[in-house]
Amino acid sequence: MSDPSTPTLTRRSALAGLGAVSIAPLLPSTVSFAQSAGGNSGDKRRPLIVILLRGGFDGLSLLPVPGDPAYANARGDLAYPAPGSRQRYQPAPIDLDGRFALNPAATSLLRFWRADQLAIAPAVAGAYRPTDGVMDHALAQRALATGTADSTSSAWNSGWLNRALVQLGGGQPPAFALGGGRVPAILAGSAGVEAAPPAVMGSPVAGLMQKAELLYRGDPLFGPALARAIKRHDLPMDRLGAKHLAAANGGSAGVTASNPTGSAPKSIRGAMDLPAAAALVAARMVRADGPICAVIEVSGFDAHFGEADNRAERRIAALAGGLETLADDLGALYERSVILGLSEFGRAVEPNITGGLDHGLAGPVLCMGGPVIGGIKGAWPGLARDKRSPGGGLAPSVDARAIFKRIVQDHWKITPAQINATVFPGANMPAPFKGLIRA
Amino acid sequence: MVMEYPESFPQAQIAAAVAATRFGYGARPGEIGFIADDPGGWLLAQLRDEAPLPALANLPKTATILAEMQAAEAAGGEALRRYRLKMMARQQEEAAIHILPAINGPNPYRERLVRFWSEFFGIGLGDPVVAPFAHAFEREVIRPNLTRRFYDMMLAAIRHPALILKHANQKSLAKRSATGRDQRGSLETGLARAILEDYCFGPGGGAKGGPGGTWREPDLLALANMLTGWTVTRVPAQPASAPAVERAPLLPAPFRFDASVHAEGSKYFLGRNYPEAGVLEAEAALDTLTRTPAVGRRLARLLARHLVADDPPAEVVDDLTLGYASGGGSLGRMAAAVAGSNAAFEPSLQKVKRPDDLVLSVYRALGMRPRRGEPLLRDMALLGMGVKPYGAPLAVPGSANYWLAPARFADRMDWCASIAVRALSENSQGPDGALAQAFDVLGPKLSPQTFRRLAVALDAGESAALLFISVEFQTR
Repeated sequence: MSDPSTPTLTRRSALAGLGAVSIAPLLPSTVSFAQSAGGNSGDKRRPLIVILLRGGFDGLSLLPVPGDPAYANARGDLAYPAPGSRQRYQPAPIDLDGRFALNPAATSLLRFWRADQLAIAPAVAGAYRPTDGVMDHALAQRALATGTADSTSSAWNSGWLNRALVQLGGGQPPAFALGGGRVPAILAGSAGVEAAPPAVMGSPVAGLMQKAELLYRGDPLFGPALARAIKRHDLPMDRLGAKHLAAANGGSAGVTASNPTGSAPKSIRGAMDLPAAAALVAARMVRADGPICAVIEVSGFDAHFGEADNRAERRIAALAGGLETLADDLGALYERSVILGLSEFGRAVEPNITGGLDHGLAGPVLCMGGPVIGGIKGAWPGLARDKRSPGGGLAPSVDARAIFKRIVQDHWKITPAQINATVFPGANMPAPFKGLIRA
Repeated sequence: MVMEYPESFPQAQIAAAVAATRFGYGARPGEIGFIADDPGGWLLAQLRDEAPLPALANLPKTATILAEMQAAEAAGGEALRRYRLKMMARQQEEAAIHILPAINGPNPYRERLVRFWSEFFGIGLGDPVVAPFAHAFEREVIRPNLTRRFYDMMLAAIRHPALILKHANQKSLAKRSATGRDQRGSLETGLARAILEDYCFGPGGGAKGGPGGTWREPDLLALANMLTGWTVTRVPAQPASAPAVERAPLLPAPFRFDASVHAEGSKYFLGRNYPEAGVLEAEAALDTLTRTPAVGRRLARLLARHLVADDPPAEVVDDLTLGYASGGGSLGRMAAAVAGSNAAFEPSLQKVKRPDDLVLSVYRALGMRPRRGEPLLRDMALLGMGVKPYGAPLAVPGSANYWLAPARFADRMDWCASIAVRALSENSQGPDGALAQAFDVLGPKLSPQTFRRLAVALDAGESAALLFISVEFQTR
């Protein structure tokens, strides 16, 4: 943990170090460091950190839009009260600009918003846009990673982030990936990548729920509470299937298909790990031989089932906590870093019959960091039924690849020619998004 | 050698384990042994330690905040929005400073009481009108009066702009007053109702009378009339050049009594006649209210519910009520009565930890002394508890039902297991070390059943994970 804590010295010295165990030494660091990459290295690095929120992130819970006349009706029970209204428990959303509000669970992000270093594009979709509106996690993730939905494209078999790293030239420390112990698809390719072994997040306790059952046996309070927490959602799981679960959750920090967490089915799983994963990544980034690119994959953003017990708020708290941790722990490097947070798609505008949210086309993209020009980015498509995408999600107003292009062009100084030839090749590519990175 | 579960524990060890977890924020490794010297005395010493905390000394004063607020409201529009964003962000910063004494300081019981009374008055981020005062209210109203009489705390509270503005008392105008004869206006009863319902007798009073209905509508109106003229200072516009913090010493006191809107004549309140005496009327009424036995009993019950159990035993409430009454409505005596109450120390009582309790106790169990409060706040938010997330008195859910609801409980177990394995994944201590750690932070609270489960854990990380999710650790 890179938590700025110092352990107490107690009589039991074996335990004294518990609190401040540094995990960084666990990571192999055999890579030699070379000055190259067009000045984007060493002390002048301009890092890019990508946080992949697997499962499909609901932008309307992060950024409620009480200024949209259709908001309250469309969201039903999931609608937040208007900014400025009084709440007994749970603050009301925070008015950002008269139209958009920020979920109160993300209040820790306000300081970045006020510093004009937090950009949120509320309605973004990439190459994957099924005409029937039926969204598939695996296909959407592939499109997000490769930058194309065309399996015949030259880009289909590598990640755009890796292709961008190739353009930066060799000799740089490998990109760092945290999540599931494998190279994420967005970093697949010829540029070097170091995937942290899952153990850096601590091996999950195998069979935790079974062990908890033994611990709680006979307890009138915790026994039944556990039974309720591990009761599976029986109805919609048939419809979605196990493959859906694996695609939505697999490859997350600390979670792999072959290494189940043993978490209760009703937990938001990987999302909870985001602040800790962010601390690990930041500790790696700030090293003198730190990389210029890191990817964090977390799951827990799929939200089909009743969003009860403030689950959405806890997810957002995890995201906000991860971003804040990165900013704090990167220290001076934060001023030169761009942090990109995004998901393979968004959620439906209207809750389903369980009070959950099914898949929807456009989702939010967050961009934060010293070089970022803050604010709400892109047009607001509107929440009215006739404004939505097929399937009932938000209609996209920004192409994700336009954002990626702007970042690699202005932040990493890759030329438009290189971008168009190799990073995002092919016809029908959007132009770089205007006004996101300080030149 | 395999560690055995002890056949018995000294009584003082048991009391120390209860004191550390139930009244403090959990034990640091080895702390129970220290507390066992005198568990009650450990609590009492904290109540006597009234030194103000240096870390809180330089945070903005109410007068400064009021001046900024009035300037922003006068400007309106975009300036007001920017001001509100700034204040929300500032509350996050102040919260990170305010949380540190609870984990690093020597007085966790004191800090717990500060939280309790802050939540009792309910000035938090859930009410945008008063959110900018959330932490200043705690610093200026709660902390200095923590062990004084309830009267002192109440008076400081209702003189504070947060409560006056929350209930629009600055607009309250008595018909029978110098201004009221010339101008139209109305009597605001919100503050009087909050005093009677929220702070004194609890809901259920009012027009119907009956049990708990110790007051009726005419009493409400009488108190509201006494409170006419209790208003805030209108700070004159300041040159924008000087930063507000530096101007603060020059600012007038936030509270002001405006005799021109105050109701003339005597008031008949709760069976007693109060002759006309301006600002002194409501002060006298407060004095009466805070000495009323029913009020003391309600406060005792609320505190017992916060400290001891969702449904506290009558003996605990009796002990605390007696403490309150013995000091003429003393909050310090009530808090001290806890230290001498056998019923309050009963080991079998159970109160499920809220996220703030849980996070603080896990950090303490792991021996952490964080320099910054943000990581603690992040973990509390992960578990569903943001910064002062309330906008009304006593709004924070404290019950087991709420915090053990399925998804909330599932996330709680995940968090406990994750922080345990992350902190201990490199630790190679054997099972005995892990068990010793469990005894170190739970003492005799650790049950033989849990002891056996920890003894067969695969490694230190798993052992700590099981320790943190155990019933003994999850409850106080």
